[in-house]
Amino acid sequence: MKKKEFSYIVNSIYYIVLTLIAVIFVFPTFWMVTTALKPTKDIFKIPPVWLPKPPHWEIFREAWHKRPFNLYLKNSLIIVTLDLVGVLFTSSLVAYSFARLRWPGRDIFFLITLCTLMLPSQVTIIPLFIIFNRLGMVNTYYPLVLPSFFGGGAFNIFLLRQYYKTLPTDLDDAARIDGCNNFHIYWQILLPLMKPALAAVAIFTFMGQWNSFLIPLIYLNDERKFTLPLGLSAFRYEFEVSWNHLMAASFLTLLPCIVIFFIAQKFFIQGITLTGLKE
Amino acid sequence: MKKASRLMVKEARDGYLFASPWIIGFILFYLGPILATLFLSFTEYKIPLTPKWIGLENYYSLFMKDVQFKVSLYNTAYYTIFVVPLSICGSLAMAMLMNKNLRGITVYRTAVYLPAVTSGVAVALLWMWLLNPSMGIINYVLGKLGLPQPLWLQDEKWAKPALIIMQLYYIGGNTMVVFLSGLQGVPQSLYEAAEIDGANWWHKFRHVTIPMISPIILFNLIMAVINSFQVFTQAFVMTQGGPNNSTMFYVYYLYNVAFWWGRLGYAAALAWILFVIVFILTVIQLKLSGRWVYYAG
Amino acid sequence: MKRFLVLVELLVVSVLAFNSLAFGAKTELTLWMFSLTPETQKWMQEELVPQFEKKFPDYTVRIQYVPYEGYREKIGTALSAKTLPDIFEEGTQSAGWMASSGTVIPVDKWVKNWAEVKDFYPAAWKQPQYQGRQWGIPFYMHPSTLLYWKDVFKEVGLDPNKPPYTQEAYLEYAKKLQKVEENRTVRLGAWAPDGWRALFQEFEVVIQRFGGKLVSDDYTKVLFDGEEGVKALSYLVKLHQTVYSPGVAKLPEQTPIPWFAQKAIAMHFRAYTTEVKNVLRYNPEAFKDLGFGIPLRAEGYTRKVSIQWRNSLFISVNCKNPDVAIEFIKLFVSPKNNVKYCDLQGYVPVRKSALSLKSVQESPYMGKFMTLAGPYGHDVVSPPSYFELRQKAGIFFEEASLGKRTVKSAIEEAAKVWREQLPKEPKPVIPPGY
Repeated sequence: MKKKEFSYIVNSIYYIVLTLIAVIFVFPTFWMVTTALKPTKDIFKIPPVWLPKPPHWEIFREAWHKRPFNLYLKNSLIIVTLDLVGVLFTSSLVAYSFARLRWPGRDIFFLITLCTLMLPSQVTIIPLFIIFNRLGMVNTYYPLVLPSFFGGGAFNIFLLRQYYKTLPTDLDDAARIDGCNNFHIYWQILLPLMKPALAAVAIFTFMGQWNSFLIPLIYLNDERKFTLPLGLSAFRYEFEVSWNHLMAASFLTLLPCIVIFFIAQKFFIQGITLTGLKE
Repeated sequence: MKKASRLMVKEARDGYLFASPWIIGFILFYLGPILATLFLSFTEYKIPLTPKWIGLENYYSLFMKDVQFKVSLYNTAYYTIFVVPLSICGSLAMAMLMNKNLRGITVYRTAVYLPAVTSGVAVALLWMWLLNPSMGIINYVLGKLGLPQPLWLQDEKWAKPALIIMQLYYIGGNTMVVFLSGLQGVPQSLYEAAEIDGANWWHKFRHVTIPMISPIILFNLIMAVINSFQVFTQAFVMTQGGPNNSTMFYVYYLYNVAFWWGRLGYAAALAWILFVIVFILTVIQLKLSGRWVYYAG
Repeated sequence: MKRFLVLVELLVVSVLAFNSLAFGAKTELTLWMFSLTPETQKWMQEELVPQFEKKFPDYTVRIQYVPYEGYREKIGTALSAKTLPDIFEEGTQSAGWMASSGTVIPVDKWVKNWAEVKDFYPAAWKQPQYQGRQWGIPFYMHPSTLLYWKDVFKEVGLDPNKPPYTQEAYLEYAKKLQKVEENRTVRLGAWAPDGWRALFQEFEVVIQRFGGKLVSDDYTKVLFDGEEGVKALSYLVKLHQTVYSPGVAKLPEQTPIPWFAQKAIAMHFRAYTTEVKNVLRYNPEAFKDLGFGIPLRAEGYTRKVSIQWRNSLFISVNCKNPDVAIEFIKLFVSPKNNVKYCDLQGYVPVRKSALSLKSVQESPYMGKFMTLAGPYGHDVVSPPSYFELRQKAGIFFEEASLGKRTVKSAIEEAAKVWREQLPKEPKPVIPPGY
């Protein structure tokens, strides 16, 4: 009886602490939503008005229709889906090669891979743009999507490689004895164990591409191809900002991110016992 | 002996094959721009005029004559030294906190992750308001508690600390997600074995968790250093490098040189100096990692 | 695995199909602008472009909004790759850079005998000129004038109908209007420039009040280290130290809060139409207390001058039909269209004749700004390296404003930077045939 009560108290304290923390972290999003809903003259009152009185629920529809956001949503979804497919496949495969297979030049090339993260992108975007321009790919989705199919970027490769290295090699050896080739080891043995890391990569890829602003801005010249962040920028002008519309549209853009994050949680399963190990 | 070398050849072949998407991708999308910027760093290139070869003059100017270069390097190093430990420890603590199978834990994880996905501009502007010395809440609360109310982003001594503290808001973000996925991979059996041996919470953390996720810690550490050295958005949105250059960060300076001044050659030199610094730091971390990182595989 | 590959192929094909959308038989002129709101873009698309298409049935215009915060990157990449659109907007100090880039066509031949040139405000017409050529066509002005709160004036015993007319009076009034209570700035007495960017921008304005100039008209001599420059910077430093004495919190413009509209600032000498709009939007009951002043002059001098932004449209060398492109621009800046555009954006028209339009006179701010501030905009200086020179010089000015450097030293160092760079500036590049 005592132990049950004790763990009940511990759990309750835990929940309280978590809730306090959550409230602090949710605050900017709360401010975002209430700003969207407030009548304009209340947005910047000093002292601040916390709750919108009365809430202007129509602002969401209004903001969404100021620009063709449905089209932008579709575009963003296409790009992100392509990205996810490309990144999950190629980066896991490449990382496996770095983590588990020995080949001459591997470690040097891994270091070079890390190096691509160290040069600030502000200088490389111009030469890269010139390359894509020569390839005739400006104003297409290729510059946004192609790199995902060619390794998915050093960040993902590095992360997955580190994660592979937490998995014991006994698994590989056991599988080899059973007659698996390298691809099978990757596909059937290791990949299922990589679920949490793959979920993390999926989250980062989604969020990164969903909110990506500068690259689509530079490459896309046709508004029919715009993505959501480019649509949001319509509310920010040189001398002023349309705050309620911006916050409303930003919040709507945020919702799919929350959904994806929720879904990805399914793969975060605590401490799976290592299967496949013949004991 | 022959069988072993055949296996080795096969492994090497598979190795290249599986890594080939990235090898090709690197050559297509990275090698060209990297070499181009290296070349440009030895030129005076005011876009869009033709780049003019000037040898080491950009580097000479940077080291000998450019005050903002030195200031921005100092600011960035200062920022990194504080943010990296804060971010690693904070994210790890948050990940441990969120690593329980309680009902609804998903909601809490999402809640702390929100700042990472909310528009950076909106969050930055909100912070500017919160931190406003006379109109913002933070100083209001501090005043009520009888604590000193610094001028935060308007005081050159407090601007960087303010930005460092702001980073606490992201300890529920991507770094935490990486830690969480690492923690998920630690087999329960190891914890159970430790408990049988009489280990308490700290022992379990120190002797099971840390070693098992050490490759992940290394990842987050290296990435944190790389990213901190490229801090940009806060300067861009909130401070424009002020007050009095105290938040003139390296990449923000670089951005100004590249896109407002249009001097891509000078910017390329700046980029390469940053690269060398971060490269050296990364190599040091990798070399030292042999002592504390445990690779099960 | 195979199914995934098929899915991927389908998606790629759909993307490819999306690319090759038929463009139609009309020749398309592309236009990039950052000074656009969704409403303005709608008007341009639905009314302005059809007007143009009526005159030129074989052409159409595709307008693309490029957000201001990414504009430099977008233009930068397009400049380097030589993929600029047919027509594009550029900011107030861009004339020199555009002229020397070799990517822009000077428009003299189409405006040399254009009767409507007389109708433009001279300062606006001059903005896209560089080294004797006209490189673009201005299409809006964003002038500034003095705004103040009458009720706050009354509160501290100042006559609510007598705003300051000189910058020195502005400073004196600011002292009275400032309200600081135990370390909390309740109200700033006046707006004062802070930081390298604003300080340098205002320096350009104030030196003109003293009859001085930044550089000679041919951009060969640096002139701002003369006594006018010293006087100008001394004033700005004094203003900064009066309003922002140590410990006094500033109310920076980058925060989203419209401080002036909330009466947290009592006087603002760099108030745009934006400030009036903010009052109407965020504090409408206070509109009746809003007082309009005029651009300031210096004590003992007669010239009134305030900062004024003027943006222009440029035609790039990539344009295959510049004769048609210029017609679109001319249509865009015709008085009625110019007023409509500026009304939607909250700017002020570049056409003097716009003042006769009823809508302008009845607007809560447009007519007022045109008459009070329109003719008194500052003379713009735009060497190709303007932004670099501004930042380097501005840093010294900021140090002076914080008391870390004497005014004389700041001016000397700034002048040194400008003197070193000016002779190295690239010369204008005129495309063949122009």
